[in-house]
Amino acid sequence: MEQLGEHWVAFSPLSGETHLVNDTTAAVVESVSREVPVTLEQLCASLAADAGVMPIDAEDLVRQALQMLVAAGLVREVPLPRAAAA
Amino acid sequence: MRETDHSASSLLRQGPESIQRQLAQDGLHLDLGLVRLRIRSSEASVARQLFEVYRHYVPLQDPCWCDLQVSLIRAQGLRSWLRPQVRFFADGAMNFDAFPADHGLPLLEWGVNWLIGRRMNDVLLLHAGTLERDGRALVMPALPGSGKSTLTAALSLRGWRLLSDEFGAFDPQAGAFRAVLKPVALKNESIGVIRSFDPGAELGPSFDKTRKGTVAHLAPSPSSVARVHEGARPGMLVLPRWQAGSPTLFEPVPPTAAFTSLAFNAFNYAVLGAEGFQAVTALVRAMPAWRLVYSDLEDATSKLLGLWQQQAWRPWPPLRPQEPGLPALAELGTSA
Amino acid sequence: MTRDDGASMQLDWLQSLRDPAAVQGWSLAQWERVIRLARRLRLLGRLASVVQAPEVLMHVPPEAARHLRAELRYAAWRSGALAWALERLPAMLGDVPYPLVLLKGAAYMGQDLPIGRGRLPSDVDILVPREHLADAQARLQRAGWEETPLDAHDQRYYREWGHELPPMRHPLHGLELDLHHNILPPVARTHVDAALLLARLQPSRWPAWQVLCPVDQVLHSAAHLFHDSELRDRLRDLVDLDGLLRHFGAAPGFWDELAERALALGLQESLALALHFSARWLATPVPPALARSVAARGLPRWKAAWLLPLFEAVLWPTDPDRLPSRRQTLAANVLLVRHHLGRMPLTLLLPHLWHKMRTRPVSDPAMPAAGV
Repeated sequence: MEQLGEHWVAFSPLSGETHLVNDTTAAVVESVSREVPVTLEQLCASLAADAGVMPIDAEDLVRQALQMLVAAGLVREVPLPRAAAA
Repeated sequence: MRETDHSASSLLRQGPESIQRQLAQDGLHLDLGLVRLRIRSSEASVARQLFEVYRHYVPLQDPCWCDLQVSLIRAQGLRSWLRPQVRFFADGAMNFDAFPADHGLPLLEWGVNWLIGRRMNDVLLLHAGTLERDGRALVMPALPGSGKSTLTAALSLRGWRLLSDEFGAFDPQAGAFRAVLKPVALKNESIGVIRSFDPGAELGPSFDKTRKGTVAHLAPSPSSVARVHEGARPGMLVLPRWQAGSPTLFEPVPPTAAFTSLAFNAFNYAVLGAEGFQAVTALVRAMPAWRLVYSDLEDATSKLLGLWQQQAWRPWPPLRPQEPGLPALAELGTSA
Repeated sequence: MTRDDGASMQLDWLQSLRDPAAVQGWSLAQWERVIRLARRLRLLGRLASVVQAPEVLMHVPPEAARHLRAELRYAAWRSGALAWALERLPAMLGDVPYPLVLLKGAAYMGQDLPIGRGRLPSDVDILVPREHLADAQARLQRAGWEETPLDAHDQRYYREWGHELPPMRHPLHGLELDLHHNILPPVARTHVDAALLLARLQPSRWPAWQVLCPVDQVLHSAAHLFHDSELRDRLRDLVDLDGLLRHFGAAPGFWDELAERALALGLQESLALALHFSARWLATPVPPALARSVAARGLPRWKAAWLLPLFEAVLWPTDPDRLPSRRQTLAANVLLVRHHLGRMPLTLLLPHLWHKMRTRPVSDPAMPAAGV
C-alpha cells in the first residue's frame, strides 16, 4: 500500500488487483498489517481508540471494510478461531 | 521543419523496388528501439507504403536477431479472388481479420502494436504518446477524446524527439523511457490539421474506410530514428483533452488521478503485478502531472513548451512522502 | 524426435524442458527460432521457467533472456489469477456435499508438478458428479458467475450431448470456468464411466479441491488430446503427457495400472496414440512390452496405418516461417470429420453442424477487433 497525496493505493499480490482505498479502509489495512493475526474485536478496539469513538460504533464499518478487503485479496482470513489476519 | 536525410542507405535512398526485393526475400529489418522487427511480404503496395512512412529508417543488414517476425500475405480463397485481401502472420499464426489488399500498412501497424503490447513484458508499457526533450520524457496517456496522436505528431514537428505515439515504454531498472519508434497514426480530421500545422510534414498515404475511419501516418524524423536507443528520464505527465473553442488551460492533476491515468490505461500494468504497481507509484511521484485543455494546436504546443521550460524536475528514484524534512517538489534543476 | 520421413530435427529443443543444460549449446539463431515456435505452442513460459537457474541463465544470450523474462511474467500473472480464483471459489460455492475436482492445468498446478510451471491458463476446468451439476451451477450463479449467452440449440447441445456446461465468467475474475461432469461426452462412441473416476480422487495442495488419480490424469490428458477437434499446435498437450508419464511413471506398478485402467475406462485407443507419439517424439521411457500390448489392443495395424499419419501431420508443428501445409490442412479436416462422427450419432450431428454453419459469426469474437 502506498500513499499518493491524500489518498492511498493498494496492490494485492494475491488477486493481482490494484485498488484506490479510502482513509477508513487504509486504516484497517494498516492495522491488520502486523505479523500477528488480529481478531475483529481487537481491530475495532484499536481503530475506535484512534478515532475517538466507541468500538461498537466502529464495528459495522470495519466489518464492511474487511469483507471488501478479503474479496479484493488485500486481507486474508486465517483459520484461527474467529480471527482475521493479513 | 524537415530534417535532411544524410544516410546513404535509408529506405528513402533505397527506393520501393529495393524494399520490395528485401520484403520478398529475407525480409526488411527495422530497429524500432525497444524491438527489432522483420517484415516479409510479397505485396508491392506494402513496399511502397513502407517506403513512405519508414523513409528515414536504415534497415539492418543481416541482423542475427530480431524480436518480432511478421508477414503480410495475400489471402487465399474464393472470397479473396473477388475482393483481394491481405493477412497478418506472426510466427506462422494468424490471429486477426484480413484487411483489403491495399491496406497492408494499417494492418501491419496495428498487428505489430498488438504483438508488442502482448509480448514485451520486460518493460512497463503505458498507453501513451511519449516524446523527449532535454533528456526528459513527456508522457501523454491515450485517453479517449484526448487528441493524443495529433498533439504527439505536432510536438514531434516542433523540436521534441518522438519516442512513440502509442507506447510509454518504461524500464524500471534503468529508470528511463525507451523509444518504440513507429509512424504516428493520424485519423480523420487530424490528418488535415497536421498538414496545416506543418505543410512540410512527411505524411504517408491515406487509407479510407478502416474501422477508425480514414488513417494516415507521419514518418518519424531522421534524428528520432538515429537516436532510437537514447532513453529519457521521467519528466512530465500531461493529460490532454481537445475541446472545441477552448483556450489553452493547464491545471494540476492530483496524484491518484495521475496514478489512474497511467495504471488503468496501460497495456501490461496488470501483467507486471507488484512491479507494475511500484513503477507507476514511482512515476507518479517523479513526474509533475498536468491536465491540458485546448482547441488551438499551435497555442497549446507553444504554451506546453513554456510550462516545460519552467518545470523544476524531480530526482529519480523519487522521494517517498514519508521521508522527513523534504518537500514534495525539490528544486533540483534540469539535470537528469 | 524425428519424423518418419526424415525431416529436420525440429523437436530437439523440447529436450531442454527436461534437461535445461542443453540450451548452453544453442546459437542466437537457434534461440530465435525456438522462442518463436515455443511461443506459438504455448510452451515459452515453460521453457522460461526451466532455464531460470543461474548456472543455466548465464548461458542464455540477453536478447533471448528478455523474451523469456517477459513471458515468465505473463505466465505468473495468468497462473496467479487462476490460483486466486481457486482460492475464492470454495467460499463462493459454500459447503458442498460432493467433491470438487480440478482437471488439466489447474490440477497440475495443484500438485506442484514440473509441468505446472510457466503455464498460461485462460480457463479453469472443474469436474463434479453429474447429479450435482445443476446444484454446482446454481451456486456459482448465485456467487456472480454468468453463463455465456448461447441460443437454445447450443444450450441443448451442451447439456444433453456434451460432458460440460457452456463456459461461465465472473465480472471480477478474468478466467472462464468450465464445469464438467465427465471427461468425454456421454453420447460419444467412447463412453467413460465418470463414477469410476470419482471413486479414486486424490487431494491437491488446496484443501477444497481434489484431482484425479495419476493414471486417470494421464488417460484424461490422452483422451482430451486425441478426441479433440483441433489438434494443430497441440504439441504442448503431448509435452504435458510426457511430463505426467515421467513424473508418475517412477511409482511401482504405475504402467500396469495404466494399461488396466485404460481397458476399464474404454480409452485404449487414446492411450495407444499417446504412448506412440510420446515415446517417438519425446523419448518418453515407456516399457516396450507394455507399449506393444497397449498398441495391440488400442490401435490395431489396420487402424494405425491410416490414423497415425493423420495425427502425425496435424500434431507436427509448422515452421514459424511457413504456412500450414496442404497436407496438414487436409489431415486436420479428415480428423475433424472423424471427431464429429465420434461425438454424436449422425441423426444429431447433421442438424448440429447445420446450425453451427448458419450461425457462425463473421469474425471470431475471441479475436481482437482490428483497429489502428
